[in-house]
Amino acid sequence: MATATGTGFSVLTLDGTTGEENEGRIRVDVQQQLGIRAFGTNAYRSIEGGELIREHDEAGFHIANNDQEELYVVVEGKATFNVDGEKIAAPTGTAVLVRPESKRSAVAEEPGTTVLAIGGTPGEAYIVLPEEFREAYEAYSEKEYEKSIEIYQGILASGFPNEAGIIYNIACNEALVGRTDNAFEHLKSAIQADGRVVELARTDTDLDSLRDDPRFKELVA
Amino acid sequence: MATAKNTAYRVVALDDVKVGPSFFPEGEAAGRERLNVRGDLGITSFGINAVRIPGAGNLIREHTEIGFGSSGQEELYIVLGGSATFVLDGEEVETPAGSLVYVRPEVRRSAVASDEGTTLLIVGGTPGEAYEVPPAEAEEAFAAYNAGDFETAVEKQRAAVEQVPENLIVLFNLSCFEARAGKTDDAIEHLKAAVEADSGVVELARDDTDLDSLREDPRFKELIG
Repeated sequence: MATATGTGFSVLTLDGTTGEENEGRIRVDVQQQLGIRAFGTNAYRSIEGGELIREHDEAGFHIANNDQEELYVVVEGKATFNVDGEKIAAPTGTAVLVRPESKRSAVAEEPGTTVLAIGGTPGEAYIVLPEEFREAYEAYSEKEYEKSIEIYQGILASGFPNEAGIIYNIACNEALVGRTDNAFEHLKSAIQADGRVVELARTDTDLDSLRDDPRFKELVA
Repeated sequence: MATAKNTAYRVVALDDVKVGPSFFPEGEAAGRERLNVRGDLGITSFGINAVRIPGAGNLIREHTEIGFGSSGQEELYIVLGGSATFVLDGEEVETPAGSLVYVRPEVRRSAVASDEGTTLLIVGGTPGEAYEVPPAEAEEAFAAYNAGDFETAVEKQRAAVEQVPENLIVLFNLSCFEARAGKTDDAIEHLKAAVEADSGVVELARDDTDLDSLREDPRFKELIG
């Protein structure tokens, strides 16, 4: 619950009263809730114990803030981290720094176990995603692909610095509505903006309608 | 105790993080300690340290993060254990363990521990700017300065200036350490270089007691007025 908000400060408690519940854990988008601009911050609180942080790494392509190093701080309870196959016991007060390319996951050993994750890309300024990203993603999730495209185009027009991911998402939406030629155009320019997009395109089911087209093989193979 | 180390990750118990030099002598008197979390873990993308105090007492001295010599950082304070009372632009906020307090650079803030065993984790960064890792020597120099070993402070600070020659605070502090060490000519020379790069340094120099040994020197008067 946000307990106080001045113009220049805000306060939040990680007691489980705020955040979104999903599969036995509560995720708090701390960065967004508090309005933090200089680094990324999330919190995860387990309700009954069990999976707290799903296995992932930070080396893949993202809309922004690629290759983040991430610091996990156990604020309450007791967690077990697994980093590149190695198990780490992490009671309250433990800090675990994980490099971008390492696979990491965490399990809560007790109900109420809470982990704060803080991330940033070394040598780069943190980029706050505008609210429109959430709206574009929601539209996409609700299969309102044209609406999603429109929102992404608005973000592009606003001068957001990392274009590749946005253009790629436009291509995905276009592929899903059957605008094949537009989708290829955007997929091509996304790959030109950042070659790592190819890795995404290879397995992304959003692009399935393009796969048998010779243009797809040319771009992605 | 560091429980595991390799290149892919590092783990520490915050209780065991190395105690770094304090920048807050008033808090130190009450047993306040500053833990160098960022340095210990080798974090490079944001600033992070912790302060802890055994009983009630000052955790964060009143300050803002704006003005000459400040980083313009916004800060996130995380209350781990115990309980703290923040004063944020005059508003008092009770923050038990598990509270997150986000403070923009311009906000005047201070905090006291209101319970036993309070630890605050402090994360900082400047919006829109990449985090710049401060040279380790600057911290070592500060520790030597606090211990009254001004010769070592000068030596370490010179190494720090070489690494971040454009950082005027590091340069100004070199001048302070040199003044303390009785190296008047060096102190004047570096103070002059800092003032010439940014006249805002004059404000710092005017009241800084580290520079007292320079005050009667005509060169100082010419620089600071």
